[in-house]
Amino acid sequence: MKRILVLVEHRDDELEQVSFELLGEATRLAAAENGEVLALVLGSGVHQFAPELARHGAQKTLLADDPSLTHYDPNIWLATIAQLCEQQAPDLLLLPATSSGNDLAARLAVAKNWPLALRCSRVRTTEYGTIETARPLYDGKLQEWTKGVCPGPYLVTVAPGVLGVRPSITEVPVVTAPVEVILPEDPRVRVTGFIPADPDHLDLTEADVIIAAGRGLGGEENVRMVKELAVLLGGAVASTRVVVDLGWLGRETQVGQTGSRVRPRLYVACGISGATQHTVGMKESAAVIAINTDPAAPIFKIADLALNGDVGELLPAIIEGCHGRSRPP
Amino acid sequence: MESAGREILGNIPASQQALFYLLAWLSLAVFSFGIAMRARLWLRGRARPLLPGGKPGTRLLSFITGTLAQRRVRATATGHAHIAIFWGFLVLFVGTNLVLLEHETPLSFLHGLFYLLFSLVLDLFGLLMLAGVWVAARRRYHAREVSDRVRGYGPALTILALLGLGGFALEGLRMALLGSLWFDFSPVGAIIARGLALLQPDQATLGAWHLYAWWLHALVAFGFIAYLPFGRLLHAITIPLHILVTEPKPGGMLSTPFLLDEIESGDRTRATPCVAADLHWTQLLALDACTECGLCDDACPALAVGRPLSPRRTVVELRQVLDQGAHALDKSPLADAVSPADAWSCTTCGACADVCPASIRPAELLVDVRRALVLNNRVATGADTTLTNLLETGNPFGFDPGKRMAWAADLAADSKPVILSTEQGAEANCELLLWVGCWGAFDERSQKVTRSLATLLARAGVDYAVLGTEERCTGDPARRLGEEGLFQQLATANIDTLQHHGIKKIVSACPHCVNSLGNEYRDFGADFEVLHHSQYIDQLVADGRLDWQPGNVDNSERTVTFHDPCYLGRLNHVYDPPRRLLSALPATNTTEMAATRQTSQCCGAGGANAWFDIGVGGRMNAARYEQAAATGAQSVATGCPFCLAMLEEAASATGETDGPSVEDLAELVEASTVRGKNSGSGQA
Repeated sequence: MKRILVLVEHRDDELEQVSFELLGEATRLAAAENGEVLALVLGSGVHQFAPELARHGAQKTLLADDPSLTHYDPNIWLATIAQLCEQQAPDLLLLPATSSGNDLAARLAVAKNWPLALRCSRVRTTEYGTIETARPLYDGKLQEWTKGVCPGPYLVTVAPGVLGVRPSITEVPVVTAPVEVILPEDPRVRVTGFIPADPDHLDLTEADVIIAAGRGLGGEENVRMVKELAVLLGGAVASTRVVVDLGWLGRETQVGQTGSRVRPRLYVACGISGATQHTVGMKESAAVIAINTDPAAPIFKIADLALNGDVGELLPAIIEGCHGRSRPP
Repeated sequence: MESAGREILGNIPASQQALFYLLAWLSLAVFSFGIAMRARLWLRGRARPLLPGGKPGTRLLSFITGTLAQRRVRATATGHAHIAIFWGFLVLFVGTNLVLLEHETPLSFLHGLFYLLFSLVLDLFGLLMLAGVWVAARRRYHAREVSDRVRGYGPALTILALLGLGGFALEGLRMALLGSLWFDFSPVGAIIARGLALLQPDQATLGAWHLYAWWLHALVAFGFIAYLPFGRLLHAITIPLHILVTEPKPGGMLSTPFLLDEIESGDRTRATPCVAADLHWTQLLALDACTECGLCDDACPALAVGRPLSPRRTVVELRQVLDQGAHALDKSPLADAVSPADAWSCTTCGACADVCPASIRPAELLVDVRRALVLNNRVATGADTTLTNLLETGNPFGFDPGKRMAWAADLAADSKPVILSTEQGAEANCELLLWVGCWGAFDERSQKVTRSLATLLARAGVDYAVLGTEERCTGDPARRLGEEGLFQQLATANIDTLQHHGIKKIVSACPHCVNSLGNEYRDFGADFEVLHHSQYIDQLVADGRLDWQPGNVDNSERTVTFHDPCYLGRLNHVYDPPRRLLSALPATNTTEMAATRQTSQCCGAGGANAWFDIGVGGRMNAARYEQAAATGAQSVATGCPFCLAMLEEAASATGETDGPSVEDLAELVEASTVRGKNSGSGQA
């Protein structure tokens, strides 16, 4: 691949991890053919990202900086990127498989009649200058490989958290170029803003981070700490059935055999012993941190980090530590 | 002296007698038509086999206890009223037929002493019936909230009252007319006759009155016969019939609506049930047998905690499909006949069927509705994962099936079981197979119970084995979630494995497994002797293979109460072995909850409710744990992993630490026994 364009995703003045994952993958794909990795950032006030993107492999950062780009607006983004591609002629566009990334990729594919592979977990190039992509099927039990049969450009979206972030390079030249923003004349959709999810009502099954309350919290008053940590980490609050029965939290927060089954990137079990009825609902979580006073608690068997101690003492310390380095919900 | 006897159809002109017979035949014709119309609807149901299995003797016995003995009718004022009406009417009915026989056949027996006895008995039972009608009518009038919910009994009571009163009036008139010498053998008639005498009517007037009364009584009787199939009194026909044709099978055994083999071999084209006509005809008959007495609702533990379930309503809603006729039976989806919330709320605990005077099994009907829902891809929220887990991992939790022996990791070396393996091929010659079950294999808490049981078996020197990774769920949750095909897949796979190893006798600590293996697998050609661990341990103690160890307990006595798991007690009638074991425990007193044995209340996890939450109503486990705590016992023992998990959770959710602890029988026995003098040498 000679020219790879990576769409950078950012939120609340911070770059999303997936952007670095995509740049790392683009660098690897470009290296074989001595190609070029271009990072594309759309937004308002995005110049600050250029050095960090360069450290992660962007040889040139294309900046579309305009107040109209504050939020993802399919009309403006499509028009702007479509014109940019005319000028830059990339062979491959890598986008994050997020809701906006998938949406944009699909629109571009239709607008430009380019081949598209969605939600991929792996990308590789072939000797014919085409690409092959893999994506998980049936909850990851199978992998489906798709071969491109025509020359690009290809549109590929990659699931966040699959590729991993490569170590960044410290000394790189930062090259930037402005991008002309195209405002469609007759937009059918107007984006007015985003409503942040209320952590109390975040759908558990879609939450990336879950802080779960167990009876080991000791009392209803301590549920407050769980909620506070959830707000700090931008996560959702979950509970065991016993906590629901005790009336500390609502039924919709219950995780387990008779509640929701979740698989977040991080599950923090606060004062949960780990009865089967609960663990069957969360054992697929990518990372589990468990806090419990009982060193023999079954939850420790599935925890990646086992904190043997009183939640009442540990949680305030964790909350303290999260203050200052958190991002708002 | 004139012999006691009775002139039949005296005072009735011959022409009017002809009209009488015409009307009699007419009323019988209407009756037959009504029954035939109903029977035509019942028989739209599955009719293969026409009569489900079971011994005729057992069937006759349940017929006698269910009808003549009125065993299921409750000992309340209403119940007694029903018994009075039932027996009063039955005796009058038989009496009337005797009169018919006397008159229409060469037989002659209504004279002399027998006639006097006959008169007396009929009078007394007539009074009995009227007394019953009076009590029932008063209740309908006074307890409006009860009578308003079940309509249509007013006409039935009215017609019965008219029959009784008219009969007595007629008797009095006849006696006044004939001036019988045997007045005292018809006491009611005698009183009426003497009362009439006070009016001093002449013979002709009496004759006319008698004729009017006779016609009135005849018309009421014919009306009664003709009305019977169309009103509430139909249950007098349908309940005895239903009890007679229903299979007296174990309560926990669900029906097999189809065989997967038939579908796979192409003998059958669709899985059922989809519509009401896919139910067995005896189930459709059951709908017509319901009197809406509401005993089921009173017994239903789900309703008691405010879940949206009423067994009575379920039957009534399904009967509405029947009432709409043949087309509705064939076409209207079963999945829409009952609200899904009702269907999923049931824990199949069987309390409703156990009290039903008509032997109806609402839980089985609800499972059929679930089957229909699943065929329409409408599984209870959350339960779809359970079904996927069962299919992919052979256990409802979704644990790695390769880790089925994890429970045995911490087991003492001399207690480790023999693990059978199909690959090694050898037939097992072991005395017993320990069926571990999914809870016992994967659940941390139940693993302890399995270890206790294994230790006990080894201690008693039982030569036993386990299936290891070849065991899979018996399919109980799949069947109760309405996924009959998946159940049969699991069942046949397990049967193949068990038969391959030549297993004859199985013990399990899970009553749900015991029920599937021992009862439900019979429909698929299995014939294992399956025992619950309480039964087997009880035998080991009785055989002297385990001995009690009195020394090992501190001096303080403890009190234990036993929670009967539905699938052990009410549905499979195992009540005494666990109690024998508990009362034999050293330094232990036993006490009973108010709701115990047959009336034990479900923990809330049965019927696959362990795997989904309908989200409405209170917690059944909390209600049950409260009952256990109310006995003042320090420990509540049970014999079911579902009950264990549910009650322990309830204990935890009370927020207190001094409530009774929850244990399995095997754990208690393990802590208090030693190797007995007769213990075998099979292992350990």
